[in-house]
Amino acid sequence: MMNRIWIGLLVAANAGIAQTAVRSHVERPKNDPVFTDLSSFVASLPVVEPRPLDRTAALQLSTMPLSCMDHPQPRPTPVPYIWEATYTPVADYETTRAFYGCYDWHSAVNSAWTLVRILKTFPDLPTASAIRQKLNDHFGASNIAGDLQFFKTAGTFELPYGYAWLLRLQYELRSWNDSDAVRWAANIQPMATYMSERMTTYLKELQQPVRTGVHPNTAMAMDNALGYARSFDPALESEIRSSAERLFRRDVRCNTAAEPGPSDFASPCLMEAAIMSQLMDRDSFLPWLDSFLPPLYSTEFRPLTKGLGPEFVKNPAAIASKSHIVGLAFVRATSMGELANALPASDARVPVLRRLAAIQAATGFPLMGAVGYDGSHYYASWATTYLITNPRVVP
Amino acid sequence: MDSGATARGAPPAAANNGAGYFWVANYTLLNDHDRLRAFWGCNDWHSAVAATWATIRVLRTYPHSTLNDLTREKLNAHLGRANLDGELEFFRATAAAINPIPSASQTGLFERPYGFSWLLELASELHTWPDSQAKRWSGNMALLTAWMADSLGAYFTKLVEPIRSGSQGNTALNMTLALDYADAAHDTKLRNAVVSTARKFYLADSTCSTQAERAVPAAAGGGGRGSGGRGPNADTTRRAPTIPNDLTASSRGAPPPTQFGGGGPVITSPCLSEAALMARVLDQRAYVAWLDRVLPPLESGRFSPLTEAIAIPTGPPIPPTPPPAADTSPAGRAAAAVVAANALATERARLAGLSFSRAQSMERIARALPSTDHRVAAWHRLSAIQAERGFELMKDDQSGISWLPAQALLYLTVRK
Repeated sequence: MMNRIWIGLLVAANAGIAQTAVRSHVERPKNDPVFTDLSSFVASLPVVEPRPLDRTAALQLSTMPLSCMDHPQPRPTPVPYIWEATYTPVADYETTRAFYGCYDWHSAVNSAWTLVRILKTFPDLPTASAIRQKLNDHFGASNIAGDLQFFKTAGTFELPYGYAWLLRLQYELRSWNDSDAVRWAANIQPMATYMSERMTTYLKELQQPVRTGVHPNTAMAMDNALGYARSFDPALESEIRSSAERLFRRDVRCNTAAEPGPSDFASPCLMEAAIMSQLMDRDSFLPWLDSFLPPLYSTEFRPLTKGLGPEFVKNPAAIASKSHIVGLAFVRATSMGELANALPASDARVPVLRRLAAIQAATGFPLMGAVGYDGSHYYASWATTYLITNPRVVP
Repeated sequence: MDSGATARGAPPAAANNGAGYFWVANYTLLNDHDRLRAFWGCNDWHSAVAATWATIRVLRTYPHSTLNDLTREKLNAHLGRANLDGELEFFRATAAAINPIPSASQTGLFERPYGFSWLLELASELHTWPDSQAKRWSGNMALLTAWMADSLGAYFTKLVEPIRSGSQGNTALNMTLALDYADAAHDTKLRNAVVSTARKFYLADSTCSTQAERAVPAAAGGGGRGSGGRGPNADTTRRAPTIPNDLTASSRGAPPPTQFGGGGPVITSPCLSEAALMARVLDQRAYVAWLDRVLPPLESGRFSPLTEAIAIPTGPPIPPTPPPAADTSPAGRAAAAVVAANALATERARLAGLSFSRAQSMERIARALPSTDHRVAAWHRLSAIQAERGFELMKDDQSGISWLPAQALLYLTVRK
């Protein structure tokens, strides 16, 4: 019953998002023109205003995690070689597990983060009491204790991607003056402490950064964990800083031509630039950035903006098999937004990065419902993550 | 061939994949597994395939052994038509079931490339053996062989960059086994796929990172594997901070990132595997020039990590994450001693396998050089030294029985 209501809201929400975004759909000619300066490049870009995270967007985005938090992970369907498995849900999962919905563990965590972030920003949203109830159900002391006990025997499962999202969730809760949030944060803290320590060791032992555009990407883990580390965990913060120095500082000429990889949902080059922009002081970051990324107007930068072409959008099968490429639009937009926030306000690249980010996001919004559950279980988290990089958050 | 964890021991264990978080599995043995599957013994699928190959190799080499009847009986039971048809059906269904979300199933297709490569090695052995039973077995597995040759060729051509780690996934290692089959079975499609991909990946290489190939036993006090110095490649992290790390060049010779960094030889030498493969890809003159550019001179210090005798470990490896507080009761100490002994046996078997793999690559390199080349004798000698260390490490083996003999035999086969 509840599910039906949420599905109805979800459809309506996506239709609303699609309407605004279709107008700004990007079409690029087959033969990309060559630019030699920023202003002629900007003149060639479609005018897309960054969307604010306003009440309408918040309401729309909240429906996606609300509709999946209690939707259990899919039952595994291995083809049996000689061992045939039958699966049953773990006993009392509603009280001994916290993040069993939204397709997989890390998506359940980032969905919870999305709900927290939205509720925190818009406490009187029409969906607010439903969000509060759902968070209360999942953040119970026994739920979190069960998760922590499981992770202590699960090896490297969800390290670093899921761990980093858990820390981002905990940062959001602990920096929120709300009586429910104080209780939830207290329940989650033992798991956050455990994951923060594991993450610190993981980074310390990492001999090379993981530069793929999928979950294990090192820069992405650092970025997601950074807020928590800065505010609540000096040991993790110092390890992120020294690992970034050791693993990324000497990098020059990022290999933009290799992007995007076939199943990437993040840009390794933009992710690395974004984390370094938050860790280095401005005087050393600006020259580092110039030697790391090609100029925004250059042909070399183009692969980082190359998006979903009209042919792609017309072919639902292509989208369904590549749900990550829709996520890529939001994750790239996030990195671009973070980069814009780190540059001096007077830097000519700031409005260009915001425009490029808005263009990326505008290709993603109309497709949030296009691939079904393969995408809807996590797109809202990255769409929200992008939207909060915009300075204009309208409560 | 009929025993091992896959068939008789514990069902598949959850490791690092979150199994048991929400769905709890209850396992039962597939009905008629001994009639519907061929390679269900020997711990895992690729070991079962390799062991089948080793059994055939021994049978073929020693036709008058007293074990022949038993061997043929076993092979008949595993390589029947229904068994191999069942294998093909399993792999087709597995390929069709790969999750449409690319990252959700990051391991890709089960046993590809390593198990597939071994199956092709097995197929080429049967293909070239004029024996009436072998002909029947070869016919029984023809459809599976063709399917895997096709699938493996597609896998190679779709790789964005080669896997240069020292593990079973090493691209050059798998390509060499695939070439053994392509040449024996005259599969020009697979040969072309391997040759063109190998040229694309390796032709422009220079200065392989031999410093990363020191075989350090992961023994007490030894730290991680292959923890020697590192070569001048992009992405290496222990260099002076002033040298820029040019990422545009990162596909040249850099070991790919793994969960804990790493690289270095686990079961094979990345540099030697690559050199052994290119011996089959380039003509002799081009190969000699390529080899001179990629491998340092045999007598040089930079080559020494590949010639140093592998130390025989005496203590168990240290796990990356220390175990929780030790149980100091007598029973706890006894259990800990068993764990340590098993870990030591596993480490010895790994190093033995690495020795045979190095020896095999060295033989393949020696054979590709002009007979007048003065390095030929040196390569043969180095190969023999590696193999000798392999046999020494394999003595009293308690861990590698399911896979190690095949590694030794593959070396002996290449040397023959």
